[in-house]
Amino acid sequence: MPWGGSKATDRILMHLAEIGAGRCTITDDIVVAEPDPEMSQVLMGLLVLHEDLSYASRQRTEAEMALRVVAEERERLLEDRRQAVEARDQFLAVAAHELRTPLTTLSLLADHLIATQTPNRVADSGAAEILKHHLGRLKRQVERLTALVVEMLDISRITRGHLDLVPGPVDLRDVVHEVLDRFDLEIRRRDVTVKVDAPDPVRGTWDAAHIDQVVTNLFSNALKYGAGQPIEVSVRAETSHAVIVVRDHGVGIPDDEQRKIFGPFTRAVAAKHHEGLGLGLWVAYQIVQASGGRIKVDSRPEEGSTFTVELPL
Amino acid sequence: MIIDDDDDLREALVDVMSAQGYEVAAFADARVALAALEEGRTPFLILLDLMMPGMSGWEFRAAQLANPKLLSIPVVVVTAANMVSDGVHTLSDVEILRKPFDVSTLLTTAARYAAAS
Repeated sequence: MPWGGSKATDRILMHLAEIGAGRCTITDDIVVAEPDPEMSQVLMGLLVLHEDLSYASRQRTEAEMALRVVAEERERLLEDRRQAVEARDQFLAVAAHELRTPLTTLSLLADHLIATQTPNRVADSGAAEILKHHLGRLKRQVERLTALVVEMLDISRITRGHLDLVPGPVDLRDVVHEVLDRFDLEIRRRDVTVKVDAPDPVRGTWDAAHIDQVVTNLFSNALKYGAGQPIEVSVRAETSHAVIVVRDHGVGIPDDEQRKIFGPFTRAVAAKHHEGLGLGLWVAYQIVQASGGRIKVDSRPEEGSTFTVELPL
Repeated sequence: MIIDDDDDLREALVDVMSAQGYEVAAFADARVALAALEEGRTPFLILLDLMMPGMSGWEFRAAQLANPKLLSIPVVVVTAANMVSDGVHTLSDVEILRKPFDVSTLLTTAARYAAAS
């Protein structure tokens, strides 16, 4: 019987059990001292097996440690990122908020100067013309700055999760007319025809200021991207919801851009050609969603875009 | 009456309103404004800032409402604060003029109260 019978088997089984438990009492000396050459080979094999298993186990432990380090590093980076985003949002909120008061002062003073420093108040008519020109430019820049700050405040509110909706009784027809009145100068400057189809009041309970903003953003886009073509705005009530439609006949939006047009910082055309932060539609989308409504776009390049807002009645 | 601790804004409001022929009393400190009202001033409108050191706009409004002689004076709150998160919506019976606003918004608002007074 090879290896000295069951005694040898017991020995091997004992060593295997030890190896299984991660230990091994076989040493090189024991292997060399083993009188039975077959048993010596078996012991050698077991020793190699133990070393292989120990090596694999060490490798696994090291890999697990490395994974833990990576996981901890990832968690730290995520936390850093969360803190950075929080700091950015807080900065944005404070900056936008703090800018509102000086902007109001600037806007009031620009309007006041334009109203009071009319040519007949300034003796030199040439100087008066220059003054008027500069004051007009000042006013336009203040308006631009104001629009940017308002947009900044919106994004900060949305990212911080409080859109501040205060619903109350609103007539959408009034909202649309108010928005168009505000754009009156711009409409005339661009020589654009605006057709309004709002024959009846459309009353419901929404946040007037925010719905005003949705219409403002949609109309401002129609002016920006409408290529000077007529713009149509309509308001109507259906059974369960109110519908506002803003349609332009301008550059339009390619199919693949339409899906992302309501995302933040998105423009279907190159940013350098158009001012603003590229957040208008995203803000509109967020407000409409928060109001329980829907917003969608139908558009074809070079034919124009139709934005439809549905608000629950 | 204008109550706003921002000197430049307060003065701009005074200039714009005065140019339209309104008689304007302006205060940087709500407590002083309240004292002036208690002494018998009766403006047709109070333009009130909210976030001010010392007496805030909220405290001013509470004190005004607690005084039967003053509670009927209309207040338009001029603010950059958020409606809900800053508690602007908790103010009762006031119109809100959100900053930034332009002259025509200001004058339209003021004219409405002047006509009603």
